[in-house]
Amino acid sequence: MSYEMPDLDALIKNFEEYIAKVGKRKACRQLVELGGVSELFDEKIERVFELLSEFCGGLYVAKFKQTLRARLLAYGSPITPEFISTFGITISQVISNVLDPNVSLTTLKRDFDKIAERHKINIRKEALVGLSSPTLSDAIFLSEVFWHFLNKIGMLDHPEFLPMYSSCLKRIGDKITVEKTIISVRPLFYVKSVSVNFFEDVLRSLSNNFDGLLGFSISAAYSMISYMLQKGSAIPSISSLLAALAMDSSEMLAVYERAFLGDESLVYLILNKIVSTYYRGPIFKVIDGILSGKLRAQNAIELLLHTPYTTASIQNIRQTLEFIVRVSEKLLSEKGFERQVFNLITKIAFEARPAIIRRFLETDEGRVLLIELIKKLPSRLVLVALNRLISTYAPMDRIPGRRSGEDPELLETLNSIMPNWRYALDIKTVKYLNLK
Amino acid sequence: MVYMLGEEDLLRKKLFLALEALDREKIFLHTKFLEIEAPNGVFRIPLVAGFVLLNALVGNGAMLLWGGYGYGKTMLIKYLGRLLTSTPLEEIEASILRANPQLIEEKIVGRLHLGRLIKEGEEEVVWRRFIKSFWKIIDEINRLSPSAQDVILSLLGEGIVKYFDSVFVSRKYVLYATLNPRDVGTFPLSMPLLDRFGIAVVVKSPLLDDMNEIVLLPDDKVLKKSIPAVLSIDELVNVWAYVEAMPIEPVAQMFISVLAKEISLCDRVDKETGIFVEVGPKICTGCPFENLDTVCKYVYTPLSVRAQKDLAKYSKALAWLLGLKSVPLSVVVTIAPYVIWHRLRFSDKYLEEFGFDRFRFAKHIVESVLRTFLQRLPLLQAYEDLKAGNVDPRMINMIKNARNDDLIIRYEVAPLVDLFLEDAYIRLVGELKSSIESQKRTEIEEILEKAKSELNPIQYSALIRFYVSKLRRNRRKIVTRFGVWRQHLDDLSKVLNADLSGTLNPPTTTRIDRKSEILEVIVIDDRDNAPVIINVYTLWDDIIDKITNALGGQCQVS
Repeated sequence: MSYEMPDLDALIKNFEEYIAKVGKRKACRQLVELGGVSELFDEKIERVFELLSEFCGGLYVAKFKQTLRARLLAYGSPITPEFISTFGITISQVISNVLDPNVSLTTLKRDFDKIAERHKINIRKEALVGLSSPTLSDAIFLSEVFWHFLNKIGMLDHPEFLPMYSSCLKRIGDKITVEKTIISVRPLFYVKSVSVNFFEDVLRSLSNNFDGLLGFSISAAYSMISYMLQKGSAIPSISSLLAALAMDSSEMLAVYERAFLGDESLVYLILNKIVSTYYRGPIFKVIDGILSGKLRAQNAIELLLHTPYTTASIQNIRQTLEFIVRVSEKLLSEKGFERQVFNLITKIAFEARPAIIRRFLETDEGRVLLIELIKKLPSRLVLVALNRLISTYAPMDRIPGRRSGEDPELLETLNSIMPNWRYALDIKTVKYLNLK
Repeated sequence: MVYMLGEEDLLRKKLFLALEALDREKIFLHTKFLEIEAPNGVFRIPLVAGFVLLNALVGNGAMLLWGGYGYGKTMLIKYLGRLLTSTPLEEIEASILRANPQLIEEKIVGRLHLGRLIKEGEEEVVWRRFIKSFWKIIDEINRLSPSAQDVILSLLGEGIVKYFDSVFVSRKYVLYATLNPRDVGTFPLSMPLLDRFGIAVVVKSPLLDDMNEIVLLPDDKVLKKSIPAVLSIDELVNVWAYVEAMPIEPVAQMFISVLAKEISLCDRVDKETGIFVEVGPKICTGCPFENLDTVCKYVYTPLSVRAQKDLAKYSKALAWLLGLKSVPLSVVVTIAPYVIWHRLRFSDKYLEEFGFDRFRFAKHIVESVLRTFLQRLPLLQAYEDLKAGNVDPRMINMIKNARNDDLIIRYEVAPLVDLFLEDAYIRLVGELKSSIESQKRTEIEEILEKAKSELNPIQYSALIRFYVSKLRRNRRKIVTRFGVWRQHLDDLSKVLNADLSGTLNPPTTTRIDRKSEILEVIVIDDRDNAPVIINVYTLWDDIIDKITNALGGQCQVS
């Protein structure tokens, strides 16, 4: 006797009857099959989980999770089947949209408007502490709605939420955008049980993604500022965060002062610390971030000073120096700029691979760039650092030959900053700079 | 006649000259610096020499220099004594108490005048040089027997030494003790004795470069150094007055109290009873606060009130030395580890993680307290706002929610919140605020009087503290000389309507509570030219004019 296979709705509705008709094994197998091909965040999935656990047992639940996992993976969703089975479809979908790099902010905003209305979350954008960038302000606003929503439905107190959410976050750690990170990490600051280790884990999961670390810094800075200015409605875990960033007392006091003044540069203070401690990605990402204008020049220099150069390429060194040349005129009068450039050149000299520095110095482009730097940033300190770099790494036999006469502008600059430069600079440097 | 104009700057300059002289004469070569990030810039002072100097700037300071033999601890103290007090080196050397297990009370304190005892039967005590000296040095205090330690305890605690029926009151002194814990014949120092040392610094081996330089220095056993006299004892004592008068910023003040509370509080037992010392690790098991970023689990003993006062005292000294107007939080945080590390008994379990380096662990504790302090600060500020009558239900809710994660909120803040929400309190504090704004003295006095009967003691003291905090924002400083003060004492007593006779026996700090204003008179010495500082906390200028007139204009108001 054969029975026609029902659709998923009918199966869910009459599952007990169907078991009686075809037997438990067949009914359960069909439920897994049909459940597995339904829409990813279909509410029926929740019911499938319920029926499987009630009538079929752990084996079928595991099978269904496996099917779901394959589909979630194919779909590119950061959500795990365990997350869906624990927290349900609605929350899973919201979180999937938040974490998914392919879901735009506009879509998210539409979703969040509905959520805010349904859960009576009344947050006025103008009541929030403002940020200078409108896009970031939008992300901050959405992050505010997001964590309030999770808090309202009790997720932030759920013991399973933190580990499961962080495992989802880890899955997209390398791909997540600045804005999405701002939104997604925000609730973490308000979870009561959050520990130092947890923040360390999250930061490690973002360690290859500069944008992710930037987003984390913005979210952390914003949480602190709004709390310090007494505009927030919950206490962020500042203590654990500061411990995860391994800040010493003077750094902590700097954080406090900037947060208390509502100073946006707090973002960069945190970012510098995070980059120097956790960032393991390529330098070009940092430079890209700087060049895209996401950071102010002064903060960018500070950030470059905290970036590890052990894996830097020739292009990275060139880009870094190009950036310095570009901002030199503007920042020349800023206090401490010369010292920062000196430290940066020294850092590159110490950290970058000697072969890379040597090859950079061998190129005509590199030499022109360094001459440009001396002219744009007439500083004895910077000249000393460059002298050290060139004399250590430029190979004597392969120094580009002189193709034209001495650069009069360079001569003038050198005479003004170091009148005895002919004696003070290494012979290699003099030759490298195309001077007699 | 110009009074004290620039005197503080001059004294400060001299102190830096003394540090320079130490450096120039290569007396103590340790190129390690203490870095302080103050609101007006980053300052660096030599670590060990800087602290030794700092100890001389607080009234009756006591400092412990902790480290191996032969690192130049005693020499540094001796030479600095010469620089800061103009006392001949031989005299300083002669009054050093060199500790050994056989040192009995007679050798430390004094002896009976035998001639007088035999001839006249009188028990006259001849006090030892160490007791009478201003610049006191105890070399290798760890070699003092427990009974000898008790003698020092009394000296450090009350500045009093007793022998037979005679009492010697040491009103002004600066004390240093060196300690070498690995020495033979070492006795453990009792916790109360250690607590009486305001500050302690670990003296480690000099850096390699310093060592290289030390090798080249002439042998100071053969070639004696000629050390200049930069300051006199009188000038140094004048500094004490200026340091004492330094105001502490409210956040820094709050941190000092919070540090002591965080270390002392425990959710399960009372650390004061000593039970914790016996069963510390067991008690913490399963405690909800154990896994949080708390310091209660690190320390088995509470931090004494004396430690809090010392922290304030040394922070004031450092802030004054750096030329700051008040003591900021950064200075307190810098000083704190040096004030607490030698006074506490730490949990071995956690101390082990720091290689049993007590100082490094103490620094970690201060940083941990700072982290939680910064997290808690908006709540504490909201609590202060609440006491000032500004009710923000959102913040009150946050305070109540923080009870389970924060010991200070749980035991010190949350239980009192509801008291300040009572109508009577809110009404009175509101009235007081509007009277302060309109500067109506009679109204303020009436409200404060009314509060006594209408509010309970906790509410009343909160209201008074709120008013005092408003007054403290209007601090005026009057500086005069002791000779002038003494000459016009009767007039001043009439003007202030207070008995000021106690100020003639310095060192004293007299607080005069007038109904709506407060005065603090700081008198450090009875020399005619010693400074007398009057801190006036008031909303009105008339009291300043009255004091100035009573002093015949011989004062400086700032």
